[in-house]
Amino acid sequence: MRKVEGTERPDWQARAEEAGFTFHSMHGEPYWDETSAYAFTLDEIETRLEDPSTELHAMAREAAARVAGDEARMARLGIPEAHMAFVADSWEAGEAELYGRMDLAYDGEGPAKLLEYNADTPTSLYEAGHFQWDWLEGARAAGLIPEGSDQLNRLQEALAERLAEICGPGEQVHFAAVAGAAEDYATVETMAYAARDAGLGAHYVDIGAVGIDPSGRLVDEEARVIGTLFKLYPWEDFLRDEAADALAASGTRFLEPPWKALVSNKALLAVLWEMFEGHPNLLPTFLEADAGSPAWDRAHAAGHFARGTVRKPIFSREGAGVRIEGADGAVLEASANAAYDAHPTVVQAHAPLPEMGGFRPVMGTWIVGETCVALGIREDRSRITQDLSRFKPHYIEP
Amino acid sequence: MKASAPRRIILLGAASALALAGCQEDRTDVVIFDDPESCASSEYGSELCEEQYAEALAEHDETAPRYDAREVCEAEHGEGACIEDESRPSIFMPLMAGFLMGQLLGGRGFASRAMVPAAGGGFATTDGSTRAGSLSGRGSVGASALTSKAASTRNAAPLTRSTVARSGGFGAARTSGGFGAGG
Repeated sequence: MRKVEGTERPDWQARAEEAGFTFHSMHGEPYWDETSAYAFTLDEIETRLEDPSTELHAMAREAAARVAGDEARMARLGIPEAHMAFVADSWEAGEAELYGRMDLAYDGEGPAKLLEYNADTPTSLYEAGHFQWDWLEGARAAGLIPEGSDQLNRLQEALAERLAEICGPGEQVHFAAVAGAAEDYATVETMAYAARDAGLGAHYVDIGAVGIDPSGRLVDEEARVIGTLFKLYPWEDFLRDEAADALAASGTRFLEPPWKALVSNKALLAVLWEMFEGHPNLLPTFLEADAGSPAWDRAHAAGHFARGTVRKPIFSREGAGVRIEGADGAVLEASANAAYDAHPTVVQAHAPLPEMGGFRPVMGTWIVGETCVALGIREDRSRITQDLSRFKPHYIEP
Repeated sequence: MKASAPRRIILLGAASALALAGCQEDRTDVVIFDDPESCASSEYGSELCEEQYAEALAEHDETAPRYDAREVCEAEHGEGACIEDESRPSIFMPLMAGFLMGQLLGGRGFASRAMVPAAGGGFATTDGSTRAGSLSGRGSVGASALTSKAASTRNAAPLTRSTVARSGGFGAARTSGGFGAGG
């Protein structure tokens, strides 16, 4: 992996505006940043990022299988007792998953380490699947990168294929997001295009406008029954909503399925370490409550915490509530966002992100179905990748 | 190749964008009457009106929501709007206040649906999917509003206080302020 300068197309802003990608700059800072790009060899992409991500997803499925149906474990993962059966039944029924994004620390030397898995509501879908490709084509044509350059990116096609597998032909799918968030809406819209490519109908509904009809079915604001709901709204919130007890009986198919509440949950990282202790792509992770257990002592004795610890709430987005301490306990960086601090926390061995040209990149590998299909990179000056980090394109050198 | 060129898409960035994805439905004109007599005094003949009224009555009997108590029914449909189910004592249902009728697309005859009082005023089909402010008037609805069939409730377990319709119960629990709910 190297960072290559001078990869900016002169006309990219016009192209972004034309495509409706209007949030390429936010709060006066660039969000899309193609002034430099990350370059990989094909072997590196396949053996360090793509294959390990697919394997990690399979491991996450094994961990979900262990947790589903075990109420004590589900309680440790913060699943409300009233909805444990809903979550477990969805796993038992084999409900198909659609997509997710893993965040990996990778420095180009050692194995990539799983920081967390947003397997429920990952955003930046448009940037990763579309504008990143637009850059590849344009940068190749302009001679900014070699002619035969490739990209790990079959995101849009894979999503359309997966949606066609999950839904019946011509089925109507509702897409829900929280009103007024442009970045979320772009992800939902991109997903809706994939649904259309799959031959499905797509309707938008604000999550707050979802209602329940007298038969207990979920309906949109025009009282159309919602048969399938793609919701860019996290399960941990959905299950705590006032009307959450209506979800299980609604007959609606949810994307992601309810069992993703187990996977998109940082406590799962602790279950993964418990099941696959020592796996090269995992970081030792423990629930705060398990500090001092034999496995905890083993991890310390093995020197896994030599570079410090990271504490994070089991549910959090965009780096909220994350606190990084050095080996001596001194705080290296702490998020000022306390929105998730009421949740239990996990303690993870610190795997420092590499510093490249003043920024620290995080590898975002996209899983569609059960397979890794794309890579998107975000980098931040800070050690904690937050919602104002920059999206960087990547390419595979010929 | 590790990539497949995606189809070029344009983000429209507003809720209306997804309407482009195929949910625009053909519309059809409808009329609402409170009884067959008011229907017969319009441009429709009494024969058609009687026939459509009978169709709506049968639909009402088959699909009107059933409740386990008069108060629960009245909370959903308004005071004085509920009657006891003739075939099942102690089970209550909203009375049929009128009917909505219209011509099917492509000239395939007429269809009608029962209208019952809705909580907070106005009227609705038995499944709540089509609403009207009054029992006289004309309007246009999505074509499927005339042909879709509400689920049968004639022998279904009655709705209880805890199962009646609610809305707006989602979205409030979101933790992430300001930047949407994704990540």
